Amino acid sequence: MDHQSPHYLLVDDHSLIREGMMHAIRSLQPLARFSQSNTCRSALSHLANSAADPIDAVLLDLGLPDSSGVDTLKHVRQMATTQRIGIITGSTDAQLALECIHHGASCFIPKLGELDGFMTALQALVEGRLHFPADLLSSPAAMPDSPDLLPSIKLTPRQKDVLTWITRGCSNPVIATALGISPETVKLHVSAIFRAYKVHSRTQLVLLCSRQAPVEEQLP
Amino acid sequence: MSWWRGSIQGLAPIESRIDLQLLQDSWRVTPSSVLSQIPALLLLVWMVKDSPLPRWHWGAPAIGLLIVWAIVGLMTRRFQRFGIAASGYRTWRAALVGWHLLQSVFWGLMGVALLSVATPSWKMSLVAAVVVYGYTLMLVLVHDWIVGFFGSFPLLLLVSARLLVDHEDSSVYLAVVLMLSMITCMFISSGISRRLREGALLRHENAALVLQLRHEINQVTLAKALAEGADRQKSEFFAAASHDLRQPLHVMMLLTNALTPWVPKAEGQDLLSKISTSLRSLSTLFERMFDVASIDAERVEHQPQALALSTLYRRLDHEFAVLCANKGLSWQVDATDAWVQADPHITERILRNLLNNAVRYTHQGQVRLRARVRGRWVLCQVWDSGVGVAPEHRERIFDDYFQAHTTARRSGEGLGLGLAVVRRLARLGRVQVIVRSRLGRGSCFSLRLPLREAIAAPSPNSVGVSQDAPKDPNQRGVVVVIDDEPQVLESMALVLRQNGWQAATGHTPEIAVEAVAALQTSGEMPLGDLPVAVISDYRLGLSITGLEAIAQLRYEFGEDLPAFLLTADATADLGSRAASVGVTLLRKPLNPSELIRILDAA
Repeated sequence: MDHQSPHYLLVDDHSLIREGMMHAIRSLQPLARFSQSNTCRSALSHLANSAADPIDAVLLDLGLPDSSGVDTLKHVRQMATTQRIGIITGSTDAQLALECIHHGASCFIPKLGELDGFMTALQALVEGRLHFPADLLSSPAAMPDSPDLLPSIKLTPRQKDVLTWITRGCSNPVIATALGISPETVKLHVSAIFRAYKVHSRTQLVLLCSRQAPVEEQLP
Repeated sequence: MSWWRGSIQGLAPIESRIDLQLLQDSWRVTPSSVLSQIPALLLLVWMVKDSPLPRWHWGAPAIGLLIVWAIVGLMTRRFQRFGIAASGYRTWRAALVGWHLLQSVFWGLMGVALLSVATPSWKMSLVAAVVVYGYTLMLVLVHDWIVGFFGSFPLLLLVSARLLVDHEDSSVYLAVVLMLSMITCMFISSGISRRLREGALLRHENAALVLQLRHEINQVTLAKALAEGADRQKSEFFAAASHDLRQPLHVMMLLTNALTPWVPKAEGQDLLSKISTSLRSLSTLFERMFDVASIDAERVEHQPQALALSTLYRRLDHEFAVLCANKGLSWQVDATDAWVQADPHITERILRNLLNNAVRYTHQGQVRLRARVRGRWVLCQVWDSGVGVAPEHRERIFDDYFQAHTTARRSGEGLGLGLAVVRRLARLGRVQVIVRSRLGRGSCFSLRLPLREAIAAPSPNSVGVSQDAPKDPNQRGVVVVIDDEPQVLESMALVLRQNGWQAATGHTPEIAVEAVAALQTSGEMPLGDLPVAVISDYRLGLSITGLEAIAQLRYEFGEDLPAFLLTADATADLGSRAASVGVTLLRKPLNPSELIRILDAA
């Protein structure tokens, strides 16, 4: 990724919101470049024609004129196999957020509340970290068996590679292509990671990792 | 009400209905009594027809009786056909009473006639017959003693009078016995009939009350359902509207923020910061309202479970340490290792709301989050040295939109919904929130949660990937074997399998890794398991050596994966090179039992 002038695809049907988001991201990354779409179809064609100037991340509103809910994410994910996708939404539905994580969203950013919180979330997105609302992390569905173990989990180097791609929201076949190994091997490692983190699903894993981030920062 | 219940006008509806019912009962039951009286009359007539009595003495009453009965018969037919309407009550009542009165008078006259010719023993029999008649009638008409009275009293009076006229001692005794027995009977009958009537009245009243009650319950239930439905609709509308309301507000905040560098003048900056502040409070208000709405719309579920307070407190610590630092407040968490039975989501939301509130209303000093075990309960407490709550406001602070401090409202800091959300959540989570406070000194909000024993406390040394699942003794794990000789691979795999290991083989590290993955895909290796050791030949006939292959395997399966290098080479420094990366050197040819011994030890 070009860290100096990253390329973002903004997908939202309100031009004002795209405008606001661009301003917000430029305040974090002055050189950021943007492509814009107001429908799911145009977002897909943007992604298909972006070979010359690859898109680094997609900021996606789920409610579009031609698609809504988690389906929007599924469509975009099919085309944007390796890009990070941040969901920018007016919804605070925890169930929806969990589904989005399941389908490969790296961030779930509700368009509401204090501006500071929103900017923190945007910052996480542009820096390639995970971000999910705090209330979501405490929801029973996301609660793993023993979150206390976090700092002491040991992964093999390959598992760390795989985990990085999982947190980008990529599917096993995409990870396999990216790492040059077979999908079965990816699955092998994913299972081992699940066991190490004592989780039962990708969603729990991603949520756990998003919570772990500040812990890691505090470590020497 | 006339004393003989001659009319039902002016009575309570229930009473009149009961009287009508009783009258109908009388007409249904009593006519059959005539059927037993007819043979009695015929028998008497047969007995006295040869006596010296003038024929009209007994003939006239007999004919009277027959005429009465004929009329009764006709009326009974009519009754059976048409019943008695409320309007016809008076007529039918009069007819009933009249019938029994006339019947009694005629029997009395007949009795008087018979007594004048009877021998003393016959007199006795006659009196007995009168008593039997009276008693039977009273029994038949037990529900209506007045008719019973009219039906037996004239008879009794006439017979007694005739007995007294005899001036014989025995007759006088008989008359007295007769009168006493009949009066007693009448009293008993009147008592029973009154009680029966009261009982019927009560039963009807109860039935009416039950009906009324059922009706009212139905109405209340309906009204409640309607009200709840309306309330839910309102809340759902609110929750649904939230999406549309939030978007433009959010854009306004973004754009205001973006505008900041473009407004150089101090006056403009001042205005801008005022716009930002009001936008922020507008946004906070919306969030709180939507919180309330979503709780009211029952979108939040209550699922109590075992909850470790330490985890929850650590999360809140991260969050509020920053907030307090920003506001210049000192922040303190007294952690606990207690476990409680509570809904994690609701508990966290309550505590977060209480902490937000504490931070908002505390301008200097500290905010503390504590936990105290009290018997079977844990008190989660949020302390602050803030503005406090006056005693008179203590009950109202949990109300929607109530704010004890108008200054806070003026400055746009809060909108009085935070504690309303807490109250709703507490009700939903069935927990108690207790407030203690002194105005100007600070407050303490306590959340009372039931203590429970910890579940499966994670032990600090259960870190390893392969240590947590108990091993099946026949499944000792997967050993990776890398060699360029297919025969070597086959024989190694055979030896390993015979000794309880599984083998993943390949002539390159990549193929060996795929073999491991295939073992898992086929279900021979449990999900999440990784190989337990790798054995590689040194010379692989490739561009890489066995040490490099082992490094690749360790990249996949862990830096501490036990590794063995098989070699026939006598390269002097190979042993030390292997040892430096933690690889055990094994000399070829390797005897299988030696291999197993070494693997066992690994």
